[in-house]
Amino acid sequence: MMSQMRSTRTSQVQSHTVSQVQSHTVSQVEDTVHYNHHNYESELEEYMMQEEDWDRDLLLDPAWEKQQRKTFTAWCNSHLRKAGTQIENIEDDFRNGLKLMLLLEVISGERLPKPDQGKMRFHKIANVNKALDYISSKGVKLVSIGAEEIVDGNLKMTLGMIWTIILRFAIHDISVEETSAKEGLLLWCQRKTAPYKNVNVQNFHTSWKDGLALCALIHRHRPDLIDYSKLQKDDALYNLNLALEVAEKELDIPKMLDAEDIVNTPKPDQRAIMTYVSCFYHAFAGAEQAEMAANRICKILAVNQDNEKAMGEYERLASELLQWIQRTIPWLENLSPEKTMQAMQQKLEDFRDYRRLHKPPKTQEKCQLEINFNTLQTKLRISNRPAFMPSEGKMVSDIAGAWQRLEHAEKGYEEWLLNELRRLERLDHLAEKFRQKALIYEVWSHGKDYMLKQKDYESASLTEVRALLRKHEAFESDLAAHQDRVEQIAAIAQELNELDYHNAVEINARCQKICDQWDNFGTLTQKRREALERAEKLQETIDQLFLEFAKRTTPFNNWMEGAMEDLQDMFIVHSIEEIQSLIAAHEQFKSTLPEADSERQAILGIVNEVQKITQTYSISSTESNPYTMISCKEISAKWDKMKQLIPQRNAALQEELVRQQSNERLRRQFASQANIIGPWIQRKMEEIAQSSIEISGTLEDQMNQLKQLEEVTINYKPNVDKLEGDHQLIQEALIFDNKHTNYTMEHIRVGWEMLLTTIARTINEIETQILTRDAKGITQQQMNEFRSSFSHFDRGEAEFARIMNLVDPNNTGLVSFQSFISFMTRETADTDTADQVVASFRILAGDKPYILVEELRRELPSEQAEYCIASMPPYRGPEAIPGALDYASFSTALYGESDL
Amino acid sequence: MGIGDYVCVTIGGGAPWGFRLQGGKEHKQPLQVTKVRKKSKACRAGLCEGDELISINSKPCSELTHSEAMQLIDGSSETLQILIKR
Repeated sequence: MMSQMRSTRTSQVQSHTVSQVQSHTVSQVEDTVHYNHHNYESELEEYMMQEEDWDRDLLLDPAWEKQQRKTFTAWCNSHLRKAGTQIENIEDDFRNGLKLMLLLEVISGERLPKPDQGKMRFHKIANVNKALDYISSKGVKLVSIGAEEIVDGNLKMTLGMIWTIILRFAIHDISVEETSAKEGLLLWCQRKTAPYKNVNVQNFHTSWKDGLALCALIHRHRPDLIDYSKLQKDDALYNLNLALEVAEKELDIPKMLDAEDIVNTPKPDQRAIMTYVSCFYHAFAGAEQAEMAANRICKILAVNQDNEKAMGEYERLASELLQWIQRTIPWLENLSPEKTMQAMQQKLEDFRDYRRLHKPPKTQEKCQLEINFNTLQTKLRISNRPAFMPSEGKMVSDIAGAWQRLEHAEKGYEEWLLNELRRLERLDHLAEKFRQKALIYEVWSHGKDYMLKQKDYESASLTEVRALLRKHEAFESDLAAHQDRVEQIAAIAQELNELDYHNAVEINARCQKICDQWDNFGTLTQKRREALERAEKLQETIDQLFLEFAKRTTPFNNWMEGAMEDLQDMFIVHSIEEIQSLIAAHEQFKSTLPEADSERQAILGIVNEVQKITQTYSISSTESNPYTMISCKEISAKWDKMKQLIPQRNAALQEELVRQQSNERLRRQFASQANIIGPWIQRKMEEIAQSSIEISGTLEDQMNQLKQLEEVTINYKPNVDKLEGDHQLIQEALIFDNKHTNYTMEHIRVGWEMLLTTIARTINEIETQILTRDAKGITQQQMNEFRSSFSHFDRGEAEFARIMNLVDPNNTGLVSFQSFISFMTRETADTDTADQVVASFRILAGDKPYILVEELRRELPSEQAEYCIASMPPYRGPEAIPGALDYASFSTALYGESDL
Repeated sequence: MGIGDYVCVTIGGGAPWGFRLQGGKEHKQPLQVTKVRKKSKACRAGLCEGDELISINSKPCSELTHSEAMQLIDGSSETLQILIKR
């Protein structure tokens, strides 16, 4: 052991300087420790000396023995209490070796062989030996310590053994800055107490006498346990007790020393003190070292941990980042188009958010990651650790690569977004435009196909059809105008399809509908046009026919009406020629019938034509011909009627002819007769005239002549009567003329009358002449004169006219003799003849203003009297009596004149 | 004579009128004014010689006898209205 110790010492000495330097640097890292640079060599020597002392002397200073005993016991107990046992007496309690073994087990932590259980001496020796063997197995040479001494209870041996154990297990392993065991312990004490100026630890005996060293040690590690500033150097006992107390109470170090012993002993037992101090060392330095080591470890570990944490962090961040990138890239690569601008804009906004809000932190993260990585690598390199290798897929290159892909995707995405927006904008615009145009079109086209399918032209008149045609033309041009629009609509739909509009189906359907409808329109329009044109044509044809009909019907109708009128014409004919000409005309008319009939056929033909057309083409025909009121039926009716009238007329005419012929016969009849009678009368008149002119003979002769003539004439009357009969027939037959004779019945009658009258008058004249002659007393000669003058008017024209006016006021050309006589007598006479007559009557009336019938009969010849009686008006004047006659007015009236 | 003028002559003042009437159906002569006294009512009324009476007081007189015509004329008291032809 000695050599071992020496070698160690040497090495310690050698290494000491080195360790000094090393410890100096190390300690610089820790807290600065001040230690005295005093002579260490002498201390070492002294120390060595102490060891030698021990080796040579088995004698212990009784003081030391006491101290050692206390201390060692305490020390053993401090260990044995862990096993649940104690020793009271150090020299006795170890004698059986059991507790010794136990002690060793506790101290070393190792199991010793099983102790013998017996109580025999050899058992105990065996056990002790086991303990000693163990000790020596630990490299401690136990010189001159045997089991027997221990079993025997040799105090010195036991103490020595215990000291060996203490040395070996408590002190030997002390290593302070590569100074071990005792020197190490000392060094440790020195180090620890260095800051305390009133402590100077040089050894393990006297340095500890004032107790300050112990207190300092405690205070150094646990300043809370001792208030060091209050301690006094010269209060050693107090200090020691304090230290012992505190150590026992707070540090779990049993009191191994006795304070009084220490104070009272000039040189305390260094083993005891070493033992006790070693406990302190183990309590603190172990902990301290452990602490330091732990610190270092912690530091290292901390560094490790930091690194690991950093690595983990890196991994984590890298993972997160990569995950985030992995999540984000698909999002950026999701180029699925949206349907609406809004959605797209939302996407754009999302992207903006991404760029503004989400990515920057990630960029930061990446940056941080890189920084972390670099920092970590640097740290690792500095601390001599291996470089950090991130796990698979989390390498810097991986991250960089992923980031690149991300940014690439971003760019692509942004571009795509903008393009899409543009596209969508355009699509929206187009779609709206499409809808608008489609709507306009649909509104316009609504109802048009219905209109186009109308068959209104079937029942329309020509003007209506024409109007429809105009309307249709207008529609056609309207249609043409819309062609553009439809094309536009289709073009827009096309573009929408090309640009991949999301609702292209709907658009296409609508567009298709529009186009189909458009095509349909075209067809319908065409059809309608054709139909209208055809209808127009038909109507025109019909119209033409109607016009034709009208043009021909009117004259024909007129002709027929004229014909009918003519056929029914009342005719009055008075001659055969007339009737014959009528008959001829009738025949003429009949000859025109065939032509007329053909005209009629033609006209009917027109109507049939019209009917055929309307029936064939199923158009409603206006029954009424606008150009004429005359209907076909009317024509036919009239025609039939006319046809009926013809034979009627024929018959009538024939009848008339017969009549005319009979009339003619009558005429001739009459004429022949009249032509006889007329001249006969003429002759007779001439005879009378002749006789009047001839003035030979007396009035009475003349009278007789006339009377004879009269008789003849009367006898001739039957002829006249017969003629009258004929004339009656003629008159009954309404014959008004007779070219066969110039004599009319009237002529004859008048002539006859005249003859008779003339005869009568002439007779009367003669009578009058006779009367006058008798009355006036006019001589025959006068009478003859008058007569001749009556026969010859030798008065001048004017005079003649005047006279004529007076005598023939009626301009009959016949002047009655009586009037002439009157005129003549008036002209010649001075007095008023009427007055004369009145006067004459007055005389006859006896100067009365009236005359009586008896008086007239009495005074005048019966004839004249009767005449007067018959002619005279009753007198109504004054003094009138019944039967009175007014001769005055009669007289004046007789002369045909009245004075008024 | 030919076509003559018809004149309506109205004579007032009562009889005597101042004209001579001649004619009548029985004479086969038209009723005529043969004389018109000068300064008579008839003359003042415009009656002239030769006027043929067509109606007397609106009664036609061409077919009347002289006496019948006379009766008509006498029938008027204050006024005599005659249609004449001259």
